[in-house]
Amino acid sequence: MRPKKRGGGKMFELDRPEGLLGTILAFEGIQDSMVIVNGPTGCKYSPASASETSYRNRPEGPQTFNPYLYQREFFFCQPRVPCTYMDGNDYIRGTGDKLDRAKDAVMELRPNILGIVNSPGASLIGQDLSLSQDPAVPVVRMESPDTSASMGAGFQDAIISLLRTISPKASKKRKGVNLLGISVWHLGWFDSIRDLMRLLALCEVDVCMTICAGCTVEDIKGSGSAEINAVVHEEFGLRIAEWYEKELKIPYVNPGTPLGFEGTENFMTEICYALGADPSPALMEIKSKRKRAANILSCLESSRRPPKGRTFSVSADGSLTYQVCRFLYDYVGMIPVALNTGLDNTWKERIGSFLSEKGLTVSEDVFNTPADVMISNANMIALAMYRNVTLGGAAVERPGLMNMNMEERPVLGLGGTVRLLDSVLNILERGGQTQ
Amino acid sequence: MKRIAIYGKGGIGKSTISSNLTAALSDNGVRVMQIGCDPKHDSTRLLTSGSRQVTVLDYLKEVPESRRRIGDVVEQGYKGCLCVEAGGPEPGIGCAGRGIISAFDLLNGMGVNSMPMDVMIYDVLGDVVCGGFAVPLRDDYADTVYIVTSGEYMSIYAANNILRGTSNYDPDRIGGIIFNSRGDEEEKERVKRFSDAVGIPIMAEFSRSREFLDAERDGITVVEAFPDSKITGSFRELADGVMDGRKYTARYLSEYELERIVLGRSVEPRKTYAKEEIGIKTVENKRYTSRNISRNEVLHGCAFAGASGVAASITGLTTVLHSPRSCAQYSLQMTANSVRRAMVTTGIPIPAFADPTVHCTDMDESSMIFGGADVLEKKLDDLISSGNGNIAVITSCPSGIIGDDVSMAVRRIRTIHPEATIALLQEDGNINGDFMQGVIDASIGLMNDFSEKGLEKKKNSVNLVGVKTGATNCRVTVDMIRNILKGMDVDLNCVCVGNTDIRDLKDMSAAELSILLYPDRFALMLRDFLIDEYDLEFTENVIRPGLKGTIRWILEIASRFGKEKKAEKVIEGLKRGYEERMAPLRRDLKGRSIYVVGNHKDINWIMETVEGAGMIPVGTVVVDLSDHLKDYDVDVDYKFEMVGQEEMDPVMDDIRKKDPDIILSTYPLGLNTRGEECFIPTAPDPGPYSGPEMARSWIRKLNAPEEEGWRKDV
Repeated sequence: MRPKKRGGGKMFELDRPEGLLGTILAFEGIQDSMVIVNGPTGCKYSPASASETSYRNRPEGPQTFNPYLYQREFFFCQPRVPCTYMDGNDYIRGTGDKLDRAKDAVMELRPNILGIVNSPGASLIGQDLSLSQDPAVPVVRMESPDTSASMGAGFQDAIISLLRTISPKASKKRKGVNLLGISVWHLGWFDSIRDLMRLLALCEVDVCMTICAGCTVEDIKGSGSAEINAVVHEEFGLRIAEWYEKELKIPYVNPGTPLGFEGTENFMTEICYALGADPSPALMEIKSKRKRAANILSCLESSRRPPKGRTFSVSADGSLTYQVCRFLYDYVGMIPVALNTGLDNTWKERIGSFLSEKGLTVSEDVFNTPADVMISNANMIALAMYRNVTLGGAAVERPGLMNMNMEERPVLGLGGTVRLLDSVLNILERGGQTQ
Repeated sequence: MKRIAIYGKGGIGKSTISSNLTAALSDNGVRVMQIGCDPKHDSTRLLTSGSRQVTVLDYLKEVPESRRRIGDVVEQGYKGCLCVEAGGPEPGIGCAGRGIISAFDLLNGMGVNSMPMDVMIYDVLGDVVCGGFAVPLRDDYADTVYIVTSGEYMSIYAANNILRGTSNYDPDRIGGIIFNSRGDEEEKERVKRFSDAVGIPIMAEFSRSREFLDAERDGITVVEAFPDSKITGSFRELADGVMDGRKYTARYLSEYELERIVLGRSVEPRKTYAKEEIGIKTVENKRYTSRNISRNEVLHGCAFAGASGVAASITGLTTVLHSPRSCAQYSLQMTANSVRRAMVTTGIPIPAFADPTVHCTDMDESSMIFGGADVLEKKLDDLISSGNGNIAVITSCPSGIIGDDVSMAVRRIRTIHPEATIALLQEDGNINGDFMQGVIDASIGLMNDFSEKGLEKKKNSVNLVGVKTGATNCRVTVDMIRNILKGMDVDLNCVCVGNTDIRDLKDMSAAELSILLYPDRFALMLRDFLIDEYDLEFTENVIRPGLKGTIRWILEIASRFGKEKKAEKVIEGLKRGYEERMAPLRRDLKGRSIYVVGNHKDINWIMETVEGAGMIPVGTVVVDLSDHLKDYDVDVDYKFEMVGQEEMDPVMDDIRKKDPDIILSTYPLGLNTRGEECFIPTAPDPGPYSGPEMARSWIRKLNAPEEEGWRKDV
């Protein structure tokens, strides 16, 4: 592969979702909530569209921009994420009664919680989010969302504000776990949760709630009944777990993102041990998939096409990058040549330690470092393919390569591990294309 | 814990009163924290013996989050009181109001409320000029507000404004008025009249005294310097009143009432003058505007995103977004996503979007408080030094709100790097308008800076004006037009403005003729601009979908360049191709009824297909959506009814009544009728074949089962 001359833009950072989207999608991840963006329509179209495409079976349905059906004020042709359509005058005088009117319009849809989020401009002028009359449901106000923070930071900020407002109570414990730190933005979130729930169910562990990823307000109110919390993606869930521990005395486990055979085993084992459950049934199932994978890999070896020594690059959130890297290196024998976790220094250091233990050095420049396979999202993969630095890519983050998935396509858990392995091996076999 | 805010006009003595109050409370063993909320950061200096401490905002700027500790910004002062200075930007730069918001957020985040305290005093800058300075008035902060005023009218005016600001929040928390006399004999009466009128008592009164000056000279409070003085006694009484905590409801006066009550005079309404009387001539402000802007309608999207889409689509141009990362991410996702993903699925890359050269200044809290122009300047310097000579700078709303002086930054860079061309597109988010305004502004701005005027004309050359950047068919469209022109030996000079190369844009004025692609608001504004500023010649006809429309523009260009013979041949080929596509359609569509609900006034291409296929149109409606074709008098050969977006219900009823075989609309209508719902593409390919291609999909739908099996599973 001969890489083309690069465009020179910092597309990696700009393509990564950010704090404001994380905050808005935290509310959108609750089935019966509504969120109002106090800001211009330009700050609502993209999050509304992101919500529609990532959470298609939310009660409003998947209907996207339709001027004939959703033309009313505040919604502007989209059924989700209404806004107060701030304009130049509103920056001088404030949004006035628009927020109150937007609240009234939204309350007609009978949400059980209302989030109100200031856009960057509204936050900058110090727009107050109090309403002349609060509705009968709890209101969570985000006056200064961190628009330059990571998506995980914005997601957690919103959830912690939401928890403070809802105040779930510690109640009688059941042998169950709350999953924290997976959002509707995560590729295949619904299927990933199902995959993890299925494995936990084999061990007779109940998932009480997955916060802001398809749950209801009632689920959050009852989340204090879980015996433990488990963090799925650290950058999306650790602070929430710490909040539960401090406020409701619910301990948490942080076994690493459940991806890769070993990653998934660790996840199951730590949760089961913390609950006094037996992880063997889940481990047995993982073992059977390991066996199948080993057979395929040995076939490839006998036909002189082993993936061992082939190269990969990863451009994703730290928790995913770390687990993908470990899995493809430790289990498959592939070599990481470029890894990029964006602006996240914590994961950069952890990944650095892992690599130095193995005596490996990698580049951060995923778009100018040739690799056989790229693990990232569809945009990044498209860019890398356009620059001719990779044969093909496997998507583990949104936007995915497939718009519609009839088959369950988890990214995490046992299903996610097998899917990743399938994708990588098939790209190597075919000498290209995306999975 | 009590939280009190001291407000008042600038220079009225709030800091002196706050510090002495803090000292008096501290003498009584009360644990007090005083937070100075003035960028001058001198509120607490009398409590800390004049020492200057680290301000919260300097700390925010310099210390990374993981290393921040509350103890670093809190200084111990007189009798163990705690002192904090919020700080702020240099005068004239950034946004001091935002600074207050950020300082409070940071203090909360670092756990200021967990410190042992009985009273927190906020010493707030001047008048409540913006939301930032109103932060201490909010529910989460001060529970009692004291207003310091002298008897000067402007000081009472500010006090009245503070009452007005408080009434916007929880009004039942005014602690009282603190009268700080300037020595004018009448002023006490004025303050008294104001106090009576608003129903808020004067809690304490201080007069000018040598003791204040002496204490200040020593960098300490009067309470500390003269503990037994009369003034100190007044502060002790005020401290008792604060601890007592009685509150009153904020009531404010109208300006007229204020003047009448405080100054004792009623003011005649000002005479208004006709403009002509004072010699002002009305000058028409010619601006190339989107429809929403020209009609003052709701702004859809923001100009920043619109401009970003145009600039990012141009090869050889480096786009610098002066914005928070969220704005850059939204804009790029919206404008580039579908195109880049289409590359993976269809294998057709659109070069600029496939690998855009876009940078962001990543405006953060610090940039918003202290100004971000210096960050932009450095970014531009770095980019030009590393070989990016053609640059577009686009500004977001935070930059506009804080008044960042980006034009000065760009001027400085132009001086340092005269070799570079920088187009400054000062959109300021949506302050300058909606998405379409940004598209228009960027197109015009880039032409202004990059297209040379008066170039020697290239013979038989045409500019294509009004190419959309976000449409996935933009390359196919341009290729099709280029081929038709080639058939007449005419060259396509410049694709204007999106999805082009910056070098082509430079040669734009060399074309002999220009033609519009789709007659929408964007294209029309570009045409007006190019005629006004570049004196370009445009064709009467525009490029649009449909056979008749295509023939019209071909004939006009052929006539202009004397290529009629070649045009005949091209048209003959197009007609043949059209007929080949239409013939099989007639077999299936003849006699079928159709109801058309479009949102483009140019329905010729649809209706010529309907007519050509022998169908029966039972209704033709165009819904007037913003920035579509209502403003343009396109020659349409078929009758239709124009309805507003809000008039859809009668249209739906009419469709149900007429029950057509096919309902053709741009967006789903959600009707549950017998008719097959088919869709009009939002950006149809121009050229003769769009109609027949679309009609083929109608036949396929008609041949499919009336109801698919999956519907039973919904």
